[in-house]
Amino acid sequence: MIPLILLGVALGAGAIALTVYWKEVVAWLKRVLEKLPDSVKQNLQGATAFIQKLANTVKNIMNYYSYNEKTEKWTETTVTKEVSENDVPKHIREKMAKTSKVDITDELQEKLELASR
Amino acid sequence: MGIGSRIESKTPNSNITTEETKQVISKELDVKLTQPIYQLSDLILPVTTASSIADFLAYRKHEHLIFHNWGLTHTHKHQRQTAINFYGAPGTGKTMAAHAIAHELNQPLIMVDYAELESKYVGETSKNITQIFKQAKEHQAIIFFDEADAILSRRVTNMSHATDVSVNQTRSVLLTLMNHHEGLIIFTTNFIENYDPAFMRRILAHIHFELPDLEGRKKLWQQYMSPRLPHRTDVILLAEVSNGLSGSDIANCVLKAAMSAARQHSSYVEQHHFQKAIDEVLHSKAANTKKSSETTTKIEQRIVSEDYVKTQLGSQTVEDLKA
Repeated sequence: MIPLILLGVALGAGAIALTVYWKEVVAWLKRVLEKLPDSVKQNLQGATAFIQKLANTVKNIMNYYSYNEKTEKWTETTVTKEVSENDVPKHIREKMAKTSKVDITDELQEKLELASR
Repeated sequence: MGIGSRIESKTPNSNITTEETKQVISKELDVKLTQPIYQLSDLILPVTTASSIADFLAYRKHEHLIFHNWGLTHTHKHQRQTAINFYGAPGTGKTMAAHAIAHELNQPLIMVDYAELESKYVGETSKNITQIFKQAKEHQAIIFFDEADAILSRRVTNMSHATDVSVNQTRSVLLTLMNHHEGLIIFTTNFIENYDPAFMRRILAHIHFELPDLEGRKKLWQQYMSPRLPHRTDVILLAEVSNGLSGSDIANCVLKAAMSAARQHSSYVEQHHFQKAIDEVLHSKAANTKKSSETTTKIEQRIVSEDYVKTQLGSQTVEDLKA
């Protein structure tokens, strides 16, 4: 799970030593975070990240989990964006050849940690 | 002529109008034979793209040897793909390459006009496509589908309207025609990701048209800057600062820089005239990319159970969060 504190990093991430693909993912995270409904943003607990290939379409998927203490309900907010398969790092493409949905949460967390330094 | 120019209004010889290069061969559908107006030597392409085109041409030239002499007619009865697809960013020379291939193979083109092809009557569009393939066979012409994602996009799986049935019927007819056609078909698209996988499989080669590299941009600037254009700029510098521009963009930049210099009554087109034109194109492209990215992002929301969240984030994490 990507903790809340690191999701906040995306908002402040600037010129960081990441490859083009991860730079674009972080930039996308930033745009998405700004656009998430307040009810999600204020109650955000964490997120997971995936990359999925269906037919010829490759998508970045972010699942945001928020908990509303008043209603005691959890909400899953899924944000998807199509990406070019050529832009995806080779080692992830190799995983996609074996399974259509690859969990990239840990790797994204590492990149966000790198961005926070 | 470099890559990227729209070809509708251009001819190799200024004394010949575009209409004269076309010959109407079917009055019902207005199918026209178009003579190719570019040659391979007109193309300025990255090495990998040029090499893929050369491979394909070699295949076409040795087809008789491969299929007849070496017997692949018998072993590959239904795998004799005769289609080629050019995909990549706009303005990278896909349409010019189609003309150049037709010129190399000494064949005319049938440019498929979707406005002519599509009919409001169910079944009529399929008949029109069949007519195109028939005419191509009769005239030994290459069928050319420009912006082909319009017709090769995915079939509708959840049909709820009569038009969905018609769209699927058209796609299915095209697939069948492609299976039996022995002539060449060329598709071009900026959106290969929209193609139906069944079409992808039936196309022999998918050639990626990339944006020009430094060397390519240098050649393109040289190509588009008329020898009579009075300028005080360094082509190598222009190539360096125009990373991300297509051949078509470079052609536009030369024109815009010349217009700007003329408006200012300058004796020369200066570096800053070119730089301004380049910046404008790069900024507009960046804005367009950002807009595309935003429009393709989808947000969906749903209430889920705590047990479900535990499977996603881990039980301990959820307990810790609630503590």
